[in-house]
Amino acid sequence: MSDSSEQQARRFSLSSFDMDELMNKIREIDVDEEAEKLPEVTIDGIHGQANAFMHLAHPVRLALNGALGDYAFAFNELTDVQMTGNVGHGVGEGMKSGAVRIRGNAGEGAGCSMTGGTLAIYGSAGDRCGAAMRGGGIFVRGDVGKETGIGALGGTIVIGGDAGKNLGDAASNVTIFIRGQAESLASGVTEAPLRQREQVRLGLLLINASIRGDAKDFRRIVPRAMLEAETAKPGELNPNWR
Amino acid sequence: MNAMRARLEKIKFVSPRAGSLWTGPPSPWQHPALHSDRVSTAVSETFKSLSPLFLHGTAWHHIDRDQANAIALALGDIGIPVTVLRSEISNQNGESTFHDSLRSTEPSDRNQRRTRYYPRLVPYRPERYGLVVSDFDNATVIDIRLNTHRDETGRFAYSAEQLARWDLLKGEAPISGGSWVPSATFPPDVPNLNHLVNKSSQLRTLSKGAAIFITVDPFHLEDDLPGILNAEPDGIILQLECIVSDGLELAKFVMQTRKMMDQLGGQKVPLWVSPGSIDADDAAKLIALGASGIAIDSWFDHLWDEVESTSNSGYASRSHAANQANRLASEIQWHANRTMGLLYSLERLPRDQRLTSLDPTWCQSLELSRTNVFS
Repeated sequence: MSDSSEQQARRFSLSSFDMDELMNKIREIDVDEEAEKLPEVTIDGIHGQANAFMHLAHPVRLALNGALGDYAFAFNELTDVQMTGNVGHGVGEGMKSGAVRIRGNAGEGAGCSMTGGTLAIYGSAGDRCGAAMRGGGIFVRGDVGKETGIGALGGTIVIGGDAGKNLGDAASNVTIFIRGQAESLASGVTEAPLRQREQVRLGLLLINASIRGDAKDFRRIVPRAMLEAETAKPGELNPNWR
Repeated sequence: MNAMRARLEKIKFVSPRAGSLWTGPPSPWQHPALHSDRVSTAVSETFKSLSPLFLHGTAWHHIDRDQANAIALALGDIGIPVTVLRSEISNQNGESTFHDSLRSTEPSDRNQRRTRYYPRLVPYRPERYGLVVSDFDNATVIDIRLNTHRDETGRFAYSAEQLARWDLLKGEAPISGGSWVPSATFPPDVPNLNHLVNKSSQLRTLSKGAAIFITVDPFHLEDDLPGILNAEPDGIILQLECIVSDGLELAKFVMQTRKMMDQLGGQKVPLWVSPGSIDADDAAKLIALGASGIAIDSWFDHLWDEVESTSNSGYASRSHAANQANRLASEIQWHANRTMGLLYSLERLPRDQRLTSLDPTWCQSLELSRTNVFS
């Protein structure tokens, strides 16, 4: 098959198939494990559908243009999604691996309970972004709502804009980097020094999420218990020592 | 079972009047039918053979994984659905015989042999700690928990032991509460009760047709019930052990909740309850008062000590675990059979004439049929 006909074979529309049929079509795409790039699939007919592309575990790159409703890409793994449009609540709930990049805004609970992978929102996200996450990384170029990172047990959240109140409430072992202002920090979290190694780490995370910015412009917010454990480690350098 | 406590002794089962028709055996008790357009055929069929008794709040992290798996299997074999996550009873490779095995049922037609998965409830807590996507596969019920969890210390929290069983503790990394993590009060990706119907829809899609139940506690029931029913659940589970202490309170709560659901248009929505400590007769009485599922976690209280001590002794071979589980299940089954037998007997009477009491307070409060022993 020629490249153009192969690409045509990988263009599907939700106007022609229902979600189950479309997901089966995607799963049938052959994947060459030694190929450098993932097979690309374009999806048309996107207009606000809820529960879209959930539990997709196939190493392809999906390109979508249009808005989706609640719980898009929930429990996904291996798939790389690039989408232009807004999404509803709960985008990427329970994500295990892969990447979801949204050029738009997200509703409440974005990345809720995710365990791995990358969720990047190039607009703003609503309340409780990253709630109960256990791993992976969330990047929001714009603002996030209140209670971001609430109940999170692991992972990283990077916020390019401002955050609402109670940032990091009930969180453990999660690192939040914020460039703007937080309306308030939850009682169990605190601002921590941005050491050289964290600047390097954040720089790499920003590149991975295709977010422009200098790591030095960000502040690091962590649970107090996490900072105490860091400080108590033997041989820890104090960045203010010099 | 010494640990069982009869709390509804004042309620009595009525016998048929002398001279009543000596009819053949009526049909056995069955769960109310589920909406056929929402749940899969497999789940509808499973419900027909389910016991009205179930496990709702078992602390699986207190016992060895092999023992937990064996107990779940043994109970599943006698039709008692169990609430459990895969991460709570699977081995290190994530394999769980209970989750992955087919359960052979007795053929109603000798030429047909039905097989289906073990009846299982998936606790969908607000935080989803410990939940993996394969929990949705072949589940009977997805139980959306709208109440916040209280641990053994009384905190609204999960202990370090519970988190470790869910494989959520990362080496020596500290957890913020020290030895516990706070529990949530509502799903963080659901803005409010009005949006709960979207969450139900999502879970129906993910589970491919499991029944969607919603667990609530009773403190704000009057305010929350309309919103909960708008989410179109296939059932509601009411946790009563946190509020009721005496038998009359328990019975009244069940009866009034059933009435409230009916008045709000939820006549076809089953009500399951977690009543705390009861006995087999109490279970049948609560069903006669309007429930259709009764949690029997309290029946295991005295048995857990024995199971836990085996877990801790280091002597926990698989065959021992299976033998212990089978013995536990056969004890449970004796009492479950009594509950079913009582329900079977009640089928011969009209609904409003099945229960009575000699105590006028109970009679009046529960609108029971009056027994004029001495008129």
